[in-house]
Amino acid sequence: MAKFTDLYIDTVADTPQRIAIDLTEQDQTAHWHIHLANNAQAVVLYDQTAGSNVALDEHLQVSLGENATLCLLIQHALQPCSTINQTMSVTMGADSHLTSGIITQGGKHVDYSATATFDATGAHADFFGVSKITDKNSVNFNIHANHSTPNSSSNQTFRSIVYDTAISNHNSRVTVGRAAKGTLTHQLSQHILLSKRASGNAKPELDILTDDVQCNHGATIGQLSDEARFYLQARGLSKTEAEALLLNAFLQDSLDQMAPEPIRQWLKPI
Amino acid sequence: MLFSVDRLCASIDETPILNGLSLSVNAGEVHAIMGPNGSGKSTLAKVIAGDETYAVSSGSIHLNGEALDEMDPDERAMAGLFLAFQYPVEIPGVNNADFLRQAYNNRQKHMGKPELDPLDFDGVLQTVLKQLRMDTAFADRDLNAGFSGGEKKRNEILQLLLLNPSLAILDETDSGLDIDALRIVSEGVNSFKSDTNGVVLITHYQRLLDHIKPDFVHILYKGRIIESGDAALAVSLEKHGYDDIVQAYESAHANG
Amino acid sequence: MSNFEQFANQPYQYGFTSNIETDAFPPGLDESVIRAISEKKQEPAFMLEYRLKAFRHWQTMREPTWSAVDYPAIDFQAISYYAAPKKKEVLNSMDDVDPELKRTFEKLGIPLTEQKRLANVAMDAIFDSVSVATTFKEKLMEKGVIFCPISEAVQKYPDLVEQYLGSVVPHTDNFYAALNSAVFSDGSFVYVPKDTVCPMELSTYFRINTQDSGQFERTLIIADTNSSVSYLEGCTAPAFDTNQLHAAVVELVALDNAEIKYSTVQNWYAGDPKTGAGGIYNFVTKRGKCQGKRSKISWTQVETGSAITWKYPSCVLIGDESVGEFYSVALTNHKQQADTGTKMIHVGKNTTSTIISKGISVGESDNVYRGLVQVNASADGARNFTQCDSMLIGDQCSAKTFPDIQTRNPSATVEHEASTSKIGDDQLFYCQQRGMTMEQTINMIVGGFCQSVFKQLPMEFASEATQLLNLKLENSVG
Repeated sequence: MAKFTDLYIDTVADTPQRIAIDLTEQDQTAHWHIHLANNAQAVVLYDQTAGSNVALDEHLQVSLGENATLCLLIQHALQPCSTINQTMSVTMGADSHLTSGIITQGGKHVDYSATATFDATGAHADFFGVSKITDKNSVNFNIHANHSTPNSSSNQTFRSIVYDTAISNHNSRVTVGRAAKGTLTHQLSQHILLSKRASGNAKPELDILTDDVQCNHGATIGQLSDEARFYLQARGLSKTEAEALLLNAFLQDSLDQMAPEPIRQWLKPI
Repeated sequence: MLFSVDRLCASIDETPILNGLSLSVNAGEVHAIMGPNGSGKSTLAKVIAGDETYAVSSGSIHLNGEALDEMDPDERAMAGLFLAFQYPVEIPGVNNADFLRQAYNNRQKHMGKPELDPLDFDGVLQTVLKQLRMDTAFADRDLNAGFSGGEKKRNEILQLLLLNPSLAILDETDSGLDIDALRIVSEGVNSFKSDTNGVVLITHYQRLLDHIKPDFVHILYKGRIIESGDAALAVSLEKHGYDDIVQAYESAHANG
Repeated sequence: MSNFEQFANQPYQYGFTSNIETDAFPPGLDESVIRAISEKKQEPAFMLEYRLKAFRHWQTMREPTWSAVDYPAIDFQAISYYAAPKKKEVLNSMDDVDPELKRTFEKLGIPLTEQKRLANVAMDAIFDSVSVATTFKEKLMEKGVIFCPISEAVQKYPDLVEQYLGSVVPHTDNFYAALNSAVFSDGSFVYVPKDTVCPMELSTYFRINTQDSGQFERTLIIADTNSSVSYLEGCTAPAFDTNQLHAAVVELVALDNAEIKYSTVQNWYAGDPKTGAGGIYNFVTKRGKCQGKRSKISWTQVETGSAITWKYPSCVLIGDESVGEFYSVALTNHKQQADTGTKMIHVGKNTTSTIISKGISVGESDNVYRGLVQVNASADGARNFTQCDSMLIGDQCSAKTFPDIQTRNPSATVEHEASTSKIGDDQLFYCQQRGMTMEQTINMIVGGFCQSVFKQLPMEFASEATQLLNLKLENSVG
């Protein structure tokens, strides 16, 4: 299949759709669609690998029909010096359900933005962002859930591990319009910084125009628990093994939620 | 007649729940209302208390000769009505003692009696806490916040004793209580009972009625009372369940 | 539950004006006005130079436009930059204070005569940007505590002023700070010497009286090693139909082991409830420098008035183990706008900051929280806890939360939580079933919502804050 081919799904798919794109310097801009008809269901597993000097500007439009369910997971394995700007805009149909996850590592700079517009009632979206950032690299997650109709809900969860002099930005925004009564939203940003000059930044924003809602957010920035690390070492694990285990545990929750078995098999180690 | 409900019809979101319910309570009486799930028990309690989530289409409610129908919930409380909630709501940040004192003083004022300052009120509060075997530190906590289910129920009975209403409606007060808590709560209700007030117990289980003896037992089904009797009726329900009575009712009404 | 209905709010009861003979400059601002202000106050040369430097810098600056608040352009040439009640040459005692002035403050519930004053609170009364009376000055002096108008401090303690003025908020900091540095007329100056616990609460009360005057107070509080002081700022203004600008600067400096507690209960005129016309523009720069090791600065604010509130009391945590705190309740109603919050900048090691912000939006108001927690690379072991909660009442208001967390140090721990809530119908029903009116219930629930902030206020003012909140909520939801 050619790269960035539009996807139209109008059935309940029983196996995941796999897309694997190996990006080259020729891939500079891309525009494509994923559309799910009413009542359709699909899992799309999208692998992006990139050699050096890739600079991609990708725009993906996702639209979900009534009662459609989509799980869209993007996995990056990027070489240094590649830059990816991914912008996704999602239109949620009534009672539709979206799970959108991005797992990114490597790459000089990744800017991942998603805007979900809740135009009809009863829709729900879960956004997950997981990143491991090293060297002088940077990753920005920018998600905006825009609720304008009643009784929809969204969750945004970001977890990042930052090494060396890398920079991580979690920009998470929820807008709730006057008519959007009964909206429920949650935003969570978590960072673990592993070196003296790593940066972790979070801006969880709320813009609420009506009272009958429940919106909350949390952000934490911290370290691995010394107590937990000591416990593991006392059980015979080396310091490196203990840290790796704890970092894994930190990311586990997000990975489990966005990719339950058997999709889990598809995920590469982080 | 202390309290009466006359052919009450009420619905929520256009679904009818109470369909012509009538009940009469004289001073000094304890009435138990039992019924299968979905019969309208909690709705009845809330409608009597004035919850505007429900729309009352016809019927009336009277307490001490006063019609409650046009009154707001707080006005009904002042008129002498008390509802012990099935699921008491939590209000964090609001100090329990302050809340109780405010409610108490409102009632005092309404009855033309002197309001109490925090110190004097504390004396009154501590006496009731002791009676219900509740920790004195309880007064410092936030209203129902972080309370166990049993503590919330005991807090409702505490308020009952403090506010001393004319009619108390207890909505499934026994649910979630262990044996000891049940006994203490029942003792509280029994100490409240007198020949000038009335009690309506809404309950699913017979065991509460072992501790608080009802004078009348009513079966609630599909939003109206289909059978009434004395304490023996509850015992019989325990043995046979609701099926017999419900089936008898359905076949009698099979033709409309 | 019935829908909330709105009916008329209780009128702002401080809207009266006082008939006091006032000395006022015509509107307009240029270098000659600056010189005239300095001359009126008989300032030493360093002060005039500071003002001129600030003024020249201000002329190169542009008004900031990033905030969420919306207001018509301010014509800086249409403001009078000096207005003061004509007073006698020397004020030896309370008897010398203009009786009409005394009456004004009585009406506001702020007694100037020492018999009636609040026990244990020293007061500096500022009328139209000029200090008119300071109580308990001598008693405080016995302990070495200086509490006087800044105009007096400039003359009596020039070294102290020169050392610290502008050290926390430089005139280059922002547009309004530059303007204030050029034209400030008065404010409070406090110096607490080493090893001294200030024996009384210090308080300044600001009262704007003259229409079309801008208010540019300047406050400077210095707590020397091992000292502590608690300070309260209160404010009201008459109900004019044009907006008035209040651009104050407050600088706090805490040296080793010192503690400054700064509380504000703000009830400026909020503007016409229906049109929003009139009302104070409250654009304030407040910053505390925790310079010394284990120093501590706490900001507590209850903001209920003013048409527009735009302020971010902040702490710069330089000394190791220093502590910064920010507790805030911001209530907006009718057409008020608030864009407020804090900045905590962690520089030293093992510094801690706590932010608890409660926003209540009612009517058609807009309430914005903006908070920055910045952990610099040098700030090993920094800890921050932030809780910002919004309560919305009705569906015509808004609540926005824009936190900005920036960390550059791996040993920092930052925890941030935010939630929005409304007063639940079930909570309302429960309280009403217990015999409370709608109003009592709302006051109680909103009061409960603000508890964690109110308990930070000095005891004398905690109940004043609760009453103020109840007053502001009165009849606004039904």
